[in-house]
Amino acid sequence: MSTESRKKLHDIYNVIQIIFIILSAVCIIISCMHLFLTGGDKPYSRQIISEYLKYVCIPIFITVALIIGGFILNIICPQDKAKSPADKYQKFKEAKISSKLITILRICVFAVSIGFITYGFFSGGALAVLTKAINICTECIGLG
Amino acid sequence: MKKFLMFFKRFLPSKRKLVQLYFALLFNANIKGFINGSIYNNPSKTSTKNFCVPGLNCYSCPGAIGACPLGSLQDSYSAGKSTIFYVFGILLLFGLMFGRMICSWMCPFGFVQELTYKVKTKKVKKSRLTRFLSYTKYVFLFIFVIIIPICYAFKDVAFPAFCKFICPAGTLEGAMSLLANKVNDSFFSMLGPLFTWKFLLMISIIVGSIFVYRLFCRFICPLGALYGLFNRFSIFGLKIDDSKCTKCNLCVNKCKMDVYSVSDHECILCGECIDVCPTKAISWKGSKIFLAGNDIENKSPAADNSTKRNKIRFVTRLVTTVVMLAVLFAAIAHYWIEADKKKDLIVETGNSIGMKCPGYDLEIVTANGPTGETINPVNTGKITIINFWYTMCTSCVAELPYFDQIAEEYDNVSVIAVHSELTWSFEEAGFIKKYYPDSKITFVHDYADSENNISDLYYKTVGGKDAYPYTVILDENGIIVELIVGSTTYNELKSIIDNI
Repeated sequence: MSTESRKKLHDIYNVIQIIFIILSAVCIIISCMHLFLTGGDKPYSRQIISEYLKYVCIPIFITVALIIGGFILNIICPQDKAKSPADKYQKFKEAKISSKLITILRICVFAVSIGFITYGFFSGGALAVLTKAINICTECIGLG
Repeated sequence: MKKFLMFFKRFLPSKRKLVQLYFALLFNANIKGFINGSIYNNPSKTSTKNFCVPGLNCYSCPGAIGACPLGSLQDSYSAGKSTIFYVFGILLLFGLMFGRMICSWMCPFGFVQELTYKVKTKKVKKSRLTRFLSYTKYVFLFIFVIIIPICYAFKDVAFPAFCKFICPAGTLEGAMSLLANKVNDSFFSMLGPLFTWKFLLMISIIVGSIFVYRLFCRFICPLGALYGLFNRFSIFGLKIDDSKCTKCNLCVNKCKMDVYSVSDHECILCGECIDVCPTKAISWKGSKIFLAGNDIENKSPAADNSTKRNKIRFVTRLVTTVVMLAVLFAAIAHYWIEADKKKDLIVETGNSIGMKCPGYDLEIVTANGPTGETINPVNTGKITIINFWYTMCTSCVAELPYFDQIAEEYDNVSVIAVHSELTWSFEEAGFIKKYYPDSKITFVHDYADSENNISDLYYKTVGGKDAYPYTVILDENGIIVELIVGSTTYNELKSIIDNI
């Protein structure tokens, strides 16, 4: 197969793939919004979600099949990699920091961090971290 | 055979992918948590959840064995200066050691984004716009991680604004994993507008990551913004040999992040630019600690041909791989056995509507501290509302006024607020003194089984699944009439009481 026809095939495949990825995302979003807006005070439950899944599973299934197909297509019919263009944008010069200053900075930050950790650990700081970590933070994960 | 090996080699994951997978598994080694639908909750001083993991890994993920540094930082403002020092010290140490190398080698959510980016489709290339947008993560850091939580900390409320409104790692690792397990069906009653927003945001970020390389890392992640400040002087990372660099910018062009130069604040120190450099000017910092000076950096023909050096290198790599795998399997086995032990120790005796609620003498705490007196929630002879809470839980603190109002209005209702056993001694009394000195709520604290490292036994006995707040409502005979997982409102409480 010539390079041009390979490129065309990949382009068409990409377009179809992008359409189905966006379609799947849109289906999930619309289903979620519809469920939320029409579900009353407590709109979510396992049974209701599984009912909505039947609307979204088809585009998701096709999308996953296309993604797998994309990998297979790349193996069978690999596309030539495009050369990266030269950097068109303005270059920012790196600030030169002397190695001595970097070493001093590292030692200071290391000493401060160890000091903070030691003080915090033995003053009960770790206990507060532990308390939060061993309980489910329902608001952090969107549950409450 | 050769063709097969070459084909196989072409599609092998890179070392960095394997390291990312390794750390994703290591930081989520509590595999049994996914099966049981519960998080790792060892409350002892030696628990690994006393420490933060370097990357973005929600501590409400069932598999998580460590605390999230970002979540801990936001909660630390209200928890006292020792906690702020502790979390800040950990972030300084991680930043100094690795800089943004954590993003490319250790962060589980970064790994997820790189996997989604592998989908073969058109990609959005970096441009002036993406470079401009890469500074928005500092805005998220400033507003959601610093300003908003500090403002709430002045009111003694822990408010992790970034975790609550934005973090997709929490939704993906925490919410999805917990809700997928049938044991947590009661959590569905908590889902509302916040979950809808976070779910949609998570879907958008994951789908966006298919087209945009590391969408979350580049434009939103405050942790990456913080670590990026350490890139220049971190111990491990990338460095450029100025004597060899010809300023050809091939490294910058190759890089998918919005870098201006290698090892600047946007660079995630993945090392993919090392092979691109025609003069081998880019190398790893700290490589001399592990390797002979010119072995990797210069790839000189003399070094390549030396069989002894190759043997040493092979053995070193083999030993390192074996040790790392041993650590991973040991961690998984340790947490698996621990979860199995605990499952047998906790017996949920009263956790359904219609059952008799178990009773226990819980010590009363007032504004002046523990009184030495006890109360048994089942023996009050009145309608009893048992609310499980703790001061660092924003939702718990936000709903306490409703319980206070109920306690005030109803003489035939006894409201008992059971504080988590772990931090009651120095938090609960101060909180009561400041906000509820004359309240009719009876404040008590839970108890623990210190021998087996199980905290909050009463909470777990009545069916609590580590999610706060949790409310149990009993009738006059101690029979459970309602179980509320998550926040409640005054109207909901009123309607339940009026119907008893």
